[in-house]
Amino acid sequence: MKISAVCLCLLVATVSVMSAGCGSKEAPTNPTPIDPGPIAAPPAFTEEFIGVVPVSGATFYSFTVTRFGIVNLTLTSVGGAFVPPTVTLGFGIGVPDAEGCVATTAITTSAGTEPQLTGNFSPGVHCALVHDVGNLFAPANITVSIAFP
Amino acid sequence: MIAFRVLCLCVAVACAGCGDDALLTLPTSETTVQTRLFSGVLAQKGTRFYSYTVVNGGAVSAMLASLSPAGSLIPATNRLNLGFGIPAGTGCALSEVINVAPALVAQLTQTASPGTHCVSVTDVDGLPTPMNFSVRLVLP
Repeated sequence: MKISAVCLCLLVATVSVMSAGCGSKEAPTNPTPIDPGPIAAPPAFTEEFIGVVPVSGATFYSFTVTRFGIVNLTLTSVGGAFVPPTVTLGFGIGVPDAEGCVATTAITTSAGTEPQLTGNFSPGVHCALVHDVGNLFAPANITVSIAFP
Repeated sequence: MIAFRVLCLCVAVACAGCGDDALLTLPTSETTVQTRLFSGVLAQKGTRFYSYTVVNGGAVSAMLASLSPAGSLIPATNRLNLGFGIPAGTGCALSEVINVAPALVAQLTQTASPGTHCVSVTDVDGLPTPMNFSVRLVLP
């Protein structure tokens, strides 16, 4: 009988603990908003880079981004004597350093009308890089469209 | 007795950080600079530039350290334009420029903000021949 009383007490205590989370519902709390971070500004300026890529060489163009936002690079044309317009070249975006442009993002692409490189970039000086990946037999005339905020 | 020893030990540890402040040595903030050498061949009426990044801002200095005809070790005394600026387009958009002859002293100094900058050398007077040049750049 004494043991039963103890068991009853334990049972009551257990039920009490288990029920602690139940009961009247509190007013719902709004979820804490998550900081989405800076909003990327759309491109506001466009510059056109017309240059020549030597055989086994490179050329680059520097531009200044004044606010965090979207940068679009389009290799719009490739041409010249003995240079087929469909030839693929190295194409990148990076930061000017020493006597060149150190690409942080690079691809191999042919000319087109849609941006081949796009991304969000912080304010500062950046550069567009075009280089021969071994396909050129003569210097290539290139045109790059650079759209930036 | 043991309690007394423990008490003494605690007092000793607690007092270890006290004492004569003159003996306290604080870490000193060392000013480190880095030197870059920008060298090459400058064509007649040509220009060359070199980009660099300043991380925290500070004084940047440049000197036209040497100039000699390409293929020769004979020093030349021709004057060139030496300038600081920001990389823009296919060149260096200058904000400061001076006309100097080679010398082993800082000839151009700028307080640079954090970011990417450039130094350029330009032949404005017309070199008699392409010249080897060296520019010594000191960055913060």
